[in-house]
Amino acid sequence: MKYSSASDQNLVQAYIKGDHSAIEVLINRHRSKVYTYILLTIKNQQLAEDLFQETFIKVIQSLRSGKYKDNGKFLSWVIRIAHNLVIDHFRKEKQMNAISNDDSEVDLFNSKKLSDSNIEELIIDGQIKSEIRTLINELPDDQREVVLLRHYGGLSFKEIADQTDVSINTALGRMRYALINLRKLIQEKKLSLTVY
Amino acid sequence: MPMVKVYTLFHRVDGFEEPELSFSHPDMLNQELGDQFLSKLLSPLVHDPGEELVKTILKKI
Repeated sequence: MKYSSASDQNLVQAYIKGDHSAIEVLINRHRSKVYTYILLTIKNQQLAEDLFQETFIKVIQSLRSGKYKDNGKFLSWVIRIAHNLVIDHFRKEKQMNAISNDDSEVDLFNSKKLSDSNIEELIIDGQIKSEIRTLINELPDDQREVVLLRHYGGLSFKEIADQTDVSINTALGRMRYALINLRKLIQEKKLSLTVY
Repeated sequence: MPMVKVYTLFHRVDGFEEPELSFSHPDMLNQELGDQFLSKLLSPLVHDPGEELVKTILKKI
């Protein structure tokens, strides 16, 4: 593909100038991180797919309307859009007093993307992912939010603070406690994640 | 008359122009280690939505 080694910035510019193939490269480049961020936050595969689509449709609309201010952090910008959509979803859900989707572990494990692997790989892959998801899910919401925004979106702590409406020190503090809690949970659960 | 940078001292004392986060902030110093930890922990946790979903988006626009 002609854009495979192009920077995000160049792809954005190419798309704005009318080359539609550039946006496909951009979405494919970042699809896993954006989708994983949404899925880990929303914990429901169908909803995650819907919000993933909504996120990139919003991204495209913003690019077309010239709202995107390129600062060389395209992925962070996309993750912030996804984050806002997730927040909107939770607000609507709260208003509707909807039932929690915490029972979606089976959904995640049976992801259709794993079907190409052989059974053993599928089971190991599923177990590892399940263990890590359990760890992440045991974090308090505000700590999990900072961890996911930082890791999957690459947001700076200033950006995380702005996004979550807290001070930088609060965002840093949440991350510090999240790391302490994760290490503690790994030890308590005697997980073999080799991340010490 | 020699220049005396007294204003620097004042700014430091009363906190004016003091950034919210200085480079000596302990959390900032530890953050590189934190990022490395998260990277090792979360790197296996990647879910791919698949090409079909991307194609669906592209059809909608």
